[in-house]
Amino acid sequence: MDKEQLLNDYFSNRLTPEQERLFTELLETDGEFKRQFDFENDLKQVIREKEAKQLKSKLIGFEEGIQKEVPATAPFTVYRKWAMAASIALLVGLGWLGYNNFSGSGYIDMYERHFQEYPNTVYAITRGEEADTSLERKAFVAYETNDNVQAIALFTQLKETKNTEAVNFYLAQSYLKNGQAEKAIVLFDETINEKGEFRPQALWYAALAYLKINEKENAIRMFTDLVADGRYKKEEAFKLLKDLE
Amino acid sequence: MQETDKNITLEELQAGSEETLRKVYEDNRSKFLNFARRYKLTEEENIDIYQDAYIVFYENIMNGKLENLTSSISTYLFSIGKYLIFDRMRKNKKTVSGSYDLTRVGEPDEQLSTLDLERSDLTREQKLLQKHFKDLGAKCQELLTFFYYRGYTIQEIMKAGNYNSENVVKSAKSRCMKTLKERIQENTY
Repeated sequence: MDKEQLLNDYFSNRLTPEQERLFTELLETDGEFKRQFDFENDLKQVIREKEAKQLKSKLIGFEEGIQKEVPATAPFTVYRKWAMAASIALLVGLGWLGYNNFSGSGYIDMYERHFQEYPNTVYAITRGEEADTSLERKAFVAYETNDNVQAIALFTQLKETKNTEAVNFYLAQSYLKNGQAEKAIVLFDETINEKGEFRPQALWYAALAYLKINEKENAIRMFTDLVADGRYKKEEAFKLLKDLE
Repeated sequence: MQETDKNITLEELQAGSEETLRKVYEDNRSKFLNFARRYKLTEEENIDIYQDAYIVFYENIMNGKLENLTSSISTYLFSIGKYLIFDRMRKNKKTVSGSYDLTRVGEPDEQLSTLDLERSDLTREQKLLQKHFKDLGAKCQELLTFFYYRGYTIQEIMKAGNYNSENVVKSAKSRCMKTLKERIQENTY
């Protein structure tokens, strides 16, 4: 059998079992055959590597497109994105404060002015995913579409099997959006005590929830902790603390 | 998802248009990421692994090792992904808690047994080869890619590369290989 043909068949995945035996035998006994095989196999790896790199950079490009299009896909572990979101929120918030010049007409007013629902940063809801009927997806769809009652029901159900920081946090958000501040506070407390990624966000929203039910001292406590935490809305909390005091 | 799979054929994947690549990437992405989250790697790692799983899947479509899709595309991506996740965890030396059976880490799912999964760093010889491969003419690079990456036979290369006969392909190939070898030898002295 032609050795070159044998190598060709190897690289096009066409060796019969009998040829395979011959191939292995030659690799062990024929030095020149082995050298030629090594060279061609090295070349194959080089080409695989090149193709993989090209495809990888394409996929990174797709990914950038997706992240721009659906910021909700940004994972909550990416601090830089937090920082960006926080600083934008801060700019908007401070601008608003300066413009409106705090009127002092009660804490509910303060709540109204600062409450803005927290975006879904956890679960990507994208097109073409209709086959995904998970509870998590349904819950976040309800959350994003402001179907608060439904969101509360679904997150509560989800919490039974998946009691994570994020599920707690979004359940609390749903309660707060639905005007049930006390219920929200209990859950925000749970999130705060977890001391995880969502702690500063939970502190911020717990403080707002306290404002809503006119519990100034508790709100101050939350804002103070938030300033100390420093990861989220620090300056805004600092400003509100001053106003409250 | 099922619908998408029906709409995308193996031939379309092999043709490798940008549009198909993107569609398959986008359609399976969030499903994969949800699946991957249970393993507690970071989201960035999960995206990286999704891309690597996609590359492995695609390579095996291109080299003909996946001759027909017996499951949905996402099933393949999950199986490959699981293998890559465990591999990553082992490298991160993260302890794996709960019920993940680490003894199976080395053994990819059965349907993967015929696929090329491993990609290791290039050796010194391979890096040298890489350098000179890049300097080859476009036609040589194409021919060798057909041969070693796509696993085309001489006859298939003749059609895909518009050559007049199998002999033309054969002599073109040996010329390309000769150039490569010569340039490497020039450089090693």
